[in-house]
Amino acid sequence: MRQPADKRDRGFLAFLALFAGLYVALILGMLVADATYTTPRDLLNALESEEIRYAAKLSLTSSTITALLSVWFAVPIGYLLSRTEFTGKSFVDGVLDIPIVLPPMVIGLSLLILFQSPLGEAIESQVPVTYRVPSVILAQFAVSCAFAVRTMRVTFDQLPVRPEQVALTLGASRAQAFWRVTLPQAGGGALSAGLLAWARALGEFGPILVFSGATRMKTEVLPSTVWLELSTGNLEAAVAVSLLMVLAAITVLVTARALGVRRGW
Amino acid sequence: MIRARSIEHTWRDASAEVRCLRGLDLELEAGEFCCLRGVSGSGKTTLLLALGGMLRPSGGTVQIGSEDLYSLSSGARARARAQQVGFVFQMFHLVPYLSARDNLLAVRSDLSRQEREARADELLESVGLQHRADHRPAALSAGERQRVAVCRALFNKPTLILADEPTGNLDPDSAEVVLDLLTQYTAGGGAVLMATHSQTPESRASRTLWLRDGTLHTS
Repeated sequence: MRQPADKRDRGFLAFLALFAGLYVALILGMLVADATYTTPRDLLNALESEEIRYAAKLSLTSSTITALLSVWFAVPIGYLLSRTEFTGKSFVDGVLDIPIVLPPMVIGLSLLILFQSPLGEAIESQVPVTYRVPSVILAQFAVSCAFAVRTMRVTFDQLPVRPEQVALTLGASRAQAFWRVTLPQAGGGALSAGLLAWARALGEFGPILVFSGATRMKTEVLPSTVWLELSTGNLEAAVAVSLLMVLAAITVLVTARALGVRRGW
Repeated sequence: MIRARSIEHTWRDASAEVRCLRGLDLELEAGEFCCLRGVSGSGKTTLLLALGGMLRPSGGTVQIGSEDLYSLSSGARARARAQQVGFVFQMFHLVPYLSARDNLLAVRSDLSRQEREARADELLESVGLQHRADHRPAALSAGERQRVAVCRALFNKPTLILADEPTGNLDPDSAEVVLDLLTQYTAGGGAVLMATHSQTPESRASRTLWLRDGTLHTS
């Protein structure tokens, strides 16, 4: 006997919900495990530590700069890839995916080697980068920007081209049509790209460890703190810092999404 | 008035290459009302975009009056487009948050603000929409929106109107009104090239061209 359609739908929805539920349970399970492992005292201790406060400040500042830089680069690159055809586009498209697929350590190693080349040395002679704060931002940017570019590419792909063409018919140049018509419509995508880049930058560890080191009060970011605390067997502090990162990430993501919703993105 | 020579265009992406215009020639004179027909995907819109200076063709030249559109700088081409070419689209594409009058005032123009406002009011009155001047597109019917769109296309008194299925979304009565406006425009010396799937506009047309296999045919 055939089941009524709604019953079959319920079965299908339950199938979907099973996988969603399992994954959500895994994420919540990890957070709950962290939260129950640590105590408010551990969290306070972490916040009172000058080194951890420095790492938190550097993490938040560098991630924000990285997110802004990533969006700055991702908007023109995404638009170029979405709206134009040019020789070598497939190659450029592939190259832009490399930071996503490469192991993070390799990105850090490649940056380190690049900055030991004549070009890198020339840059270093003007602006010291390696093992300093700029290297933290560059290491985060090298990875995060690729995610922002993908997001902006999809955003522009989904925006209809007609409003842009209408702007051209009204006498706008292509650049004016981009600035006045397309870019304002891409606000939501830019916000998502920025958030993704920010979250990715906040959690970046491998490239920073190799390219910047994990020197306390100098190039230590929160993921480095977790690693340093773990290395010395201070599990409570490592978990407390992890929770701080979770709280910071949730606060920023929720706030930014709320702002986006208010603006209709 | 408009001369297109050896127009070619190929759309390319990573997976496909479509050569939709293949060495096409076209001349339109003042006062002509020309219908452009062809199956979907035959390249009608591509041709209109190329003729209007919005899509640089892969090959060939487009001359409006004495100006070769694609030898102009981007800024000069934008100016020429605004002054000499009007566009009408099937889906109207009015700016949703601007009133009917402000949609007309959004057109780039060398006129003073007062002259532009007077021109907008004159056009809206000519299509019987003066009482709707302050209404946004959402408050207008499809036929009214298209009349506003035609007014916008006529704002700078262009020498050519390119219309892409302008009656495709309209009821027969509204379509007749739009066709009347375009016919009046050609009677005043303008030229119209209208891409259409409908046979109705052909009664107004001085000729009909078919776009097939990337070239134009008279039947």
